[in-house]
Amino acid sequence: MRETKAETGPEIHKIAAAAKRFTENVGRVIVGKEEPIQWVFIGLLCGGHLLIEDVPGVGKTLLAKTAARSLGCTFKRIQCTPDLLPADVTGLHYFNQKKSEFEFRPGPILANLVLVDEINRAMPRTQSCLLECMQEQQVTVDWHTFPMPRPFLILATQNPIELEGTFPLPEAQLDRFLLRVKLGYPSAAEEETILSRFQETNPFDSLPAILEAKELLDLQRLSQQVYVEPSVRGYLTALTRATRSHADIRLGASPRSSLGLHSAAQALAAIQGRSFVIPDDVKSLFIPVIAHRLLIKAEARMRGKTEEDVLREILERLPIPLEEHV
Amino acid sequence: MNWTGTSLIGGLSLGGMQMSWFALSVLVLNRRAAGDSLPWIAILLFYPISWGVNLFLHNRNRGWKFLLCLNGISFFFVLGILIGFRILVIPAPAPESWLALAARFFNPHQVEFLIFIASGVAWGLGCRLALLKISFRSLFGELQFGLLVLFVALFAEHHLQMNLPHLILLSLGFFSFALLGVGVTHGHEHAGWTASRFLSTWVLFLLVAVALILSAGLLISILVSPAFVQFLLSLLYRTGEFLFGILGRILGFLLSFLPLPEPSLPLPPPSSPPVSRPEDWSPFFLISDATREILRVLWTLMVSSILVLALWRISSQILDWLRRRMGTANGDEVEPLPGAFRADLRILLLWILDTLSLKWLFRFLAKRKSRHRESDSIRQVYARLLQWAAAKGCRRDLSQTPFEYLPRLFHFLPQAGEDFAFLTRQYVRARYGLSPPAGEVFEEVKHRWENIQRMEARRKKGAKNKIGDGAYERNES
Repeated sequence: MRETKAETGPEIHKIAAAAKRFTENVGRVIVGKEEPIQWVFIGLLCGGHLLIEDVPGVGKTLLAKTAARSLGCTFKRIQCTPDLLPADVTGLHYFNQKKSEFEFRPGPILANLVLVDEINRAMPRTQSCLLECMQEQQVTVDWHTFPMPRPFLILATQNPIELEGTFPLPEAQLDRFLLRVKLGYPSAAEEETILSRFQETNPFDSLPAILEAKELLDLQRLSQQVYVEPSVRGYLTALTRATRSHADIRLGASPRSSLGLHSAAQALAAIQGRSFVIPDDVKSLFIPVIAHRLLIKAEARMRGKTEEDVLREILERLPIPLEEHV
Repeated sequence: MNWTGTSLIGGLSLGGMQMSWFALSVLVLNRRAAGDSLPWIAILLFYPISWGVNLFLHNRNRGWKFLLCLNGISFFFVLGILIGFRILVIPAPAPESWLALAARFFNPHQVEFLIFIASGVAWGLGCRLALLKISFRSLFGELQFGLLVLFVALFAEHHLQMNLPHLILLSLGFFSFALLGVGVTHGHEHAGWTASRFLSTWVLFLLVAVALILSAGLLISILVSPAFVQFLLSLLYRTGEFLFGILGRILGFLLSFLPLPEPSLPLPPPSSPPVSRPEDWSPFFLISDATREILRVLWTLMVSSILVLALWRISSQILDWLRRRMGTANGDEVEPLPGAFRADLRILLLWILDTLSLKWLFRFLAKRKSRHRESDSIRQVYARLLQWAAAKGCRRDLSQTPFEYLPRLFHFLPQAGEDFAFLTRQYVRARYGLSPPAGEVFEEVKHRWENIQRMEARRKKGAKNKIGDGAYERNES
């Protein structure tokens, strides 16, 4: 059957092809986990920051490092500890005795891709210094504002189990993460593959970069052109608005989350070679985009409900925009 | 408890409930209409026999017509056997011939007719028990219906002072069976408190509540005697009399302040000058009675249509408002759904036509209408597919996307899997995409849709033939 050019044109296929290359490249190191890898690529396409959250040892840092290695961009890593200071992240002005003047020494945050490992181990004031970088793509040090390099992405990891010596991220910071990626344990077959793959050499060491910074910027621009039909946009808005009036939710999703869901759905549609968003895209990204931004009520939590359960309820309740009279 | 155990207890409870209310109804009938001459125990025997027979027949998995015929034959067979063995004793002296007996059975003024009707109902109830799927819903429905019958029977018994035997026993039996069956099925379907984490707390609450009710009942039965009730009523009467007396005095006192109205003279009747008409006067235009009648009918029709239209608008506005309110209560955003009321009305009319076996009329009209829809878009074709599938029992959930609904369609008609997938893909493109699909795509969509309908018709025909062949093979063997 003949496809029209606008529906699945070569432009959109560039994104689909890049996504395939990225998934294959990351898949050389990370076994299984196609969906989380796809979400990471969605984050890259949307220019949204990612929070990778799971128990220790499932490959959070490795996923972030592998994603960073796959992109030919500048990469820096910040290992968060309780004594990490904001100046260690943003950079500082120091006095150069030879030149007899203050010079700016940029911090690790001024890179294309920044891995913030164990973000919840940093103190709140250090965490707060990331707020400006994440939202406004700039950093202010001693009254001087420096723009962040483009593309700029933060891949943060955190362990939700250990609470001792950690500082939970404030809502304002969580809201700045586009997606929360959960990896989960591998299956038995996947675990066996991991053992055999890492037996002699670490495949991460020989991982090539498959996407340049400029190419990624082009793909980001293309992704924004994906068409969103008004009723699908209405459905998306209805979903986020439903979180604000749900009986079990104390703090619902913000307008920023609607924007995030919108751009993430566009990216997913482009990855699948479509130039238009369908409700399936919105549904499949609703939980990873929204869940970490919600605060559910204590009584609901005591009943054993999680953010994901509440969001699933909303998904099952809201009608899909389809043909009328049916 | 596994499902077999639950269905066993559920079936027992359902049977117990039916037997209880039916026995009570038969007892009322016996006392009131038959002068205690109905062999009610023998009538109740029809119930278990019918259940057994229908269970046996149902396992043979034939059509409903076959079941109906065999049920009728079995009923008369059992009736004959019970009369023959003198288990079902006819109160009047036995007639000489079977023909005379049949004539008496079908005479509405005879007790035999009541026996016939009551045993027929018992047979029907037994049949229902054998065919009904035991679930919380069915048991709860039975409880509601049984309560209504029980209430009517108890009211009749009290009002007509019949002094029926086993009244308390039957009522208690009904409620015991109802509590047992409803509780077990509710718990088994994981919908009730028995499936929750707070089972022990709820059990404690239940036990305390039962203990309190029983203690209160005991206390009331000890304290309340006819003399006590008489005393309470007289006290109430005296208090009322006293209060009304005081009220009357106050009103009288207040009325004494008002002046009495003066008697007024009656007005003279209105007078009008007599109308004088010329001798040769005749009306210019005279409307005949027939025309007047037609005009009246037309006027009535017009007023009725306006009224119906107004009612329609008002009801749709109220429904819309209700839907919005419900949506707000649930925290959802509700989109207006124009035409939903009309669609519901259409479904209701269809159901009525189907019940009256007149669906062919609707199909004929629908077919005539569909001839003019050659230029329908892909979206309309998909809408028709949804309506068609819903009518066949494969309804889409409102929160299902077309691709989520697709596996259900696959499962419904596996032969047309590819066609369903193609239609869904094209519909999604037409519905959410920016540019419309090409003309040949639409032709292909129409072709696939017709293909699906043909496959469904063929499958239906095949299923019918299979049943027919099976029956033929069985007869041959």
